[in-house]
This record gives sequence, structure tokens and C-alpha cells, in this order.
Amino acid sequence: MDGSGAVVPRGAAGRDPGRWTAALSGGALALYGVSRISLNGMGLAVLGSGLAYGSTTGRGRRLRGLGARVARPAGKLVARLPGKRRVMVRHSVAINSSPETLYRYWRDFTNLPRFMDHLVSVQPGEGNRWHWVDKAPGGGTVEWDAEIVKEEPNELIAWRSLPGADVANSGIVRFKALPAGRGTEVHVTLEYDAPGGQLGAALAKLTGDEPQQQVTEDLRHFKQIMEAGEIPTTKGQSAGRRDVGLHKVAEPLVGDAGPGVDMPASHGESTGSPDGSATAGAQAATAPRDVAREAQR
Amino acid sequence: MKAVCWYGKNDVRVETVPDPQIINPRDAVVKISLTAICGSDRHLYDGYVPSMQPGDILGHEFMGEVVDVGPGVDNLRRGDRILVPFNISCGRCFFCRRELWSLCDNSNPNAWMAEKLYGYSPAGLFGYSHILGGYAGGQAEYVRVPFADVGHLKIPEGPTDEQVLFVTDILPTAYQAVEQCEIHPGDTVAIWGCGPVGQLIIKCAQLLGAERVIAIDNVPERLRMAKEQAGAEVVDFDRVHVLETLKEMTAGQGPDACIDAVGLEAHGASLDAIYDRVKAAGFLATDRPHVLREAIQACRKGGILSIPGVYGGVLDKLNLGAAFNKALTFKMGQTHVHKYLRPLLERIERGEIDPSFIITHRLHLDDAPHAYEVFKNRQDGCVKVVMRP
Ligand SMILES: NC(=O)c1ccc[n+]([C@@H]2O[C@H](COP(=O)([O-])OP(=O)(O)OC[C@H]3O[C@@H](n4cnc5c(N)ncnc54)[C@H](O)[C@@H]3O)[C@@H](O)[C@H]2O)c1
Ligand SMILES: [Zn+2]
Ligand SMILES: [Zn+2]
Repeated sequence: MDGSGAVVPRGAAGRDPGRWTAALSGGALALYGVSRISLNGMGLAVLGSGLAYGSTTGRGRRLRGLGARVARPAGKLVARLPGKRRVMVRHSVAINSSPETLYRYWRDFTNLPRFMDHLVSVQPGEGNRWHWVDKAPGGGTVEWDAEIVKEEPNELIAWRSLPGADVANSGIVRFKALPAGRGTEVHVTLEYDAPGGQLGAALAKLTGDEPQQQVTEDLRHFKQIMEAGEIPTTKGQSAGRRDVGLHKVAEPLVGDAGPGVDMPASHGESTGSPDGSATAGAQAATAPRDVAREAQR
Repeated sequence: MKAVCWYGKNDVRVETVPDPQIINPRDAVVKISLTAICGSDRHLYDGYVPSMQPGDILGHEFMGEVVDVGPGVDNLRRGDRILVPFNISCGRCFFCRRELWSLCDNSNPNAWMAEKLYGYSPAGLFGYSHILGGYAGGQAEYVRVPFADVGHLKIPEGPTDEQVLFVTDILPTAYQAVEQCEIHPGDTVAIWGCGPVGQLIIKCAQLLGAERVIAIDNVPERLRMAKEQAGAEVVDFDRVHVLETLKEMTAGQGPDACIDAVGLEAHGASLDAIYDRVKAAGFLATDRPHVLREAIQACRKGGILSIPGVYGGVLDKLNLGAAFNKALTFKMGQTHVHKYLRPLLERIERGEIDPSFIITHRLHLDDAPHAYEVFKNRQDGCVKVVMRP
């Protein structure tokens, strides 16, 4: 995760993209090759730094002894956490709205799929229970039941999956008014727990490999819905890309196998590592995804 | 429809692409009546801006007629003639509420990219790279306008397209650049760059009460326009030493405010400028800050440096020591266009300013590849190109 390990990616920014990535890879800014950032690489880099963060802040206490490592079976990134079972991610966002409004929207769990990308639906069950349906990678779904375990109107909602879920998971969202009319701080913590050690693989089913990036984007979408009333997108817009395959310049769009991009964690943590070493980023080599597709997310 | 698409450095083409559609509730679709090439597009054309993708539709200065509106837009209807600001802004976030429109929290679908680069993401822009949203631009027959309910200004009968078009970008950019200079009676303002932005800065500086306006460039036609049409004193950096000349012109004190209207592609023959070129060419730096350095050096103690010229990456050998020890104030950023729409339209209607004097080339959209070439190389006295689809 330090500058020394930075590799200069041949970017996808067009014909002459190396300029930026090269210029930026040398020093303190060795954190990105923006032109070809792979969310995969990013997620793991964040995960990696999260390890260090967790262990230094003490939040990693419960996670000690994980010896987190990242493997790359068959080109797919999976965080493998041998012998242990728990990942925690946190993120917060300021939203220009009242705690009441935000609480009300979130408390109706059927709204969650509107801003949580990986959810198909959340339907009310008996009492405090809700049935969650999640998109599994490669098609299909993962389902489980969860119950609300605590709620304080306009302040917090906590939920937890019922026994029997593939990946035990729980979450808590807190709403706190910010001073001077600055809206509300929304703070989310999610925890995933898999019996049997293969948490990484199990987790990938739920969040697509990148729990931290996932929660970041989900909360961003929540904010966008609550403030702007819609999630900005370019999906479906026009572009002169029909014949893109014919252009030589189209090549960097997909890119060849290259390093994932080292990225500092901007927030939150994922798991703790006993020595705080953030190995994930350095090993997060992955085939970069189609940048165009990323950009359309 | 036809649209101007970017395929790489020095490679734009007019392609036939699908017509834009309403995608989000607050969208509108506009049929373009007039569009322009901006100095910022030059940075794309020259390959200086990362995260462009082949096929991206360019253009962020445009106006036209509303042909479709989404269900979330209640203040526009078909047939309205509107200007569209180049920044895309939600109107409801912390930043929009404070009139910091170009910093909108909610308009960049690729905010995560910008966060890696800048810490936090600015607003999405039309036709200006995927880091800044990846939105299709308006050098086209039609364009999709997100958040159209806040992102428009209706134009009444009266002013022509050419008179009002620049309210979408370079006129407010010039105005904001000058406003940032907090001009006091007797002030001298020095402007680097006599491109379209520089020319309008000269006008705005006069409008906002500058005593003297000094403009710097080396392109003869542009210097002539700055002098004869905009009314500035001019300095040709090919002929004189800029720092000494400015000192001499300001009683040895330096200009009260300095404006960098050149940005990351500054030219120069001085040692530092050559050094910048070599570094940028060898990918060791991204931007060429020759003008920024010179402006810092030239500015009087306690003065203001206003930077409308675009920077995007990292700068090498910046004389921050000079800035610090002279206690300069820096102001910069993409323009908060929405904030200036109405006031500037009113100034145009009152006849206080007519920005159309900068237009030197009126072309058809089909001629875009040629237009980019002419604008880039400043052929035929080119200052500003407008194109009609
Ligand atoms: N902040 C914003 O929101 C905003 C909006 C529009 C444009 N811009 C930026 O403003 C800048 C100017 O735009 P423009 O349309 O006038 O572009 P332009 O390229 O036509 O003009 C730049 C001018 O600077 C001159 N120049 C180059 N090196 C110089 C030097 N060393 N000293 C003095 N002059 C020098 C060039 O000869 C040219 O005339 C660009 O960087 C553009 O991206 C910013
Ligand atoms: Zn512009
Ligand atoms: Zn906003």
C-alpha cells in the first residue's frame, strides 16, 4: 500500500492516458490509476487498509487472530479469512434531511432494494421479521430471514439474520442530527459471520467481493434518493461506441491483466489483522474490469 | 442523431448515434440550436484529461429547445428555449444549497473515481470525462439534461442565441473569476490568457470596477481583440519579460489581483516552461503550471490569485513559498454557473455586456473535426467557434 509498490498501469484514458497514472504513481499520490481502477482491486485495497485501521483503533479487537489474507483463485478475487468468521464494515454519510424522514424511509425495509444494489427485495414477514432476497453472482438468489432486534424512533434500527442463513449478518443504522441545519449523519455498521471459515467466499455471494465499497455506494445511493429524489446515471445514454471494437483505441477499455490499484482506505474498516499489516492491496492483482461497465454502474 | 464523439488525442468525429431519451424523472431532452467549443475541450482534444473513453460525446456549452421532459420536471415544457449550465447539479444538497453548484454531491455517477483522485467528488459535467460523470455532451443534435428542473434558464424573445450562449459557461466563468478578485477602487487586474475566457474576463473586470486591466498572451489576433474590442492594456509575452513589465506598469507594486485564464496547457519559452513540457511529455507531471508560477510571482503582496484555468492533476515545482510569504489568497474551481444565469442574462438584456464579440468562426456541426483543428492551432485568427447542428 505504499508508493514504492505502485505499478504504472497503462491506463484506459484514451490514447495517451499513461501521462496521469505515471505521473501520479511515483509519490504520495501513488494511490490510483484512475483510468483503470478496478473496483475489485479497490475493494481489496480498502479491505487491506481496513485491517490496519481496525487493529490500531481497537475496533479490531473482536477480530483479532484472523490472519487475513487475500487469495485469487482462478482470477476471481475472494477475501479468504482462514479459521475465522467475521467481517465488519462501517460507513457514514451526511444527508440534507431530517432524522425523522430518513428513519421513516429506512424503517420500511421494502425500500432498501432501491438503494442497495445487491438486494432484489425485502418483504415483511410475521411480527418483526423480514424476508431478504439478494442477487447471487452469476445469476440466482440468496435468501434469508432477519428480525429487527432494536429500534429507537428517529435514532436507530438494528437487525440480525435468523439462524439458518448462509451468511449470518447483522446491521445497525443510526441517525443523528447535525448542528446548524446541516442535516443528518447516517452511520451504518454491517457485520457478516460465516461458520466454517470460508467467510470470504460466502460473503462474495452477498456483496460481490467488496463489502466496504458496497456499503459506500449503497449509502451514497440512499443520500441521492433522499436529497435529489433519484440516483444519477448514464446508463442508457448515447455514445459513439457501436463500432468501438473497430477502433484501435478501444483496446484500453478492457485492458489486459494488470495490477489492481493500490488505494488507501478513505473510511471504515473491514476486519482486523493481528499485526496490522495491510497485505491485501499489494496482492490484489486482478483482471481489471471493463472500465466502461464500471463507469455505467 | 449526429454527435461529436471523442476517439482519442486529436481525433474527434461526427458520428450517428442513438437519440437521447429521458432516463431519470428530473431529465429533459433538448434539441440543440447552438453549441460551442470551449478551451476546456482543448484539454480533452490534446489528451490531457484522463478517463475519457472512445465514443464519448463532447460539448458542454449549448442551448436549444426542450423536446421532452421527465415526470419530475414541472417547470419546463416542450418548446421552451433554454440555456443549460455546464455543471450538472441536484439543487438540494449541502453544496447546491450554498450556491456551490459545481460541487454538487449527487450528480456524479462515478463519484468513487473522483474520490480516489480528489478525496471528494465534484459535480458531474457534460461531456467531460468519466471521472466527472461520463455524461454525454451537447455538441450534438440532441442532449439529455439531468436535473433539468434546476439546470436551465429560460430565454425570452429578444436576445439572439449568440448573445446568450456563453452564459452556459465562459461568461459566468469570467464573471466568477473577477468576482473572486474582490476588486477595490483603483485596483489593477492582470490576466494571463486572451482566449475566449480571458476576453470576457477583461469585460467583466471593467464591469466590476477595475481601474486597469492588463492582458497577457502571445497570439497577435487575440492580443488585438483584447486591446481593441475588450479594451485592455496588453502584454505580449514573446516580446517582453512579463514580470518586469508588470512591475513597471504597476509602480513597482504588482497587480492587486492576478487571473490565470490559461490553465494546464500553458505555453512559454522560459526555462521553467520548457522544463514543464519535458516533464509532461515524459509523463512525469500532468499539468504545466508555468502561468500559475508567473502569476504567483507577479502578484502584489496580500493580493488575490484567481484561477479559472483548469488544472486536473499534480503540479511540479510550484513556488508556494512566494505565495505564502506574500500572503496571497487563492480562489479557484469550476464555475458555479447556476448562480450566475439570471444576473448575467439581465446584464445582457440591459446591454451592459455582449459576449458575442469573441465569435470568430460559425460552422456546421458536421465540420467539428475541422473546427477542433482550427481552434487548437488558432488558425485564421480563431478565438471562438460556435456550431449549428
Ligand atoms: N473554471 C471553469 O469553470 C472554466 C470554464 C471554462 C473554461 N475554463 C478554462 O479556462 C482556460 C481558458 O479557456 P479558453 O477557452 O480561453 O482557452 P484557450 O485555449 O482558447 O485560451 C488560452 C489562451 O492562453 C494563452 N496562453 C498560453 N500560454 C500562455 C502564457 N504562458 N501566458 C499567457 N497566455 C498564455 C494561449 O495563447 C491562449 O490564447 C482553459 O483552461 C479552460 O479549460 C475553465
Ligand atoms: Zn468550458
Ligand atoms: Zn447538489
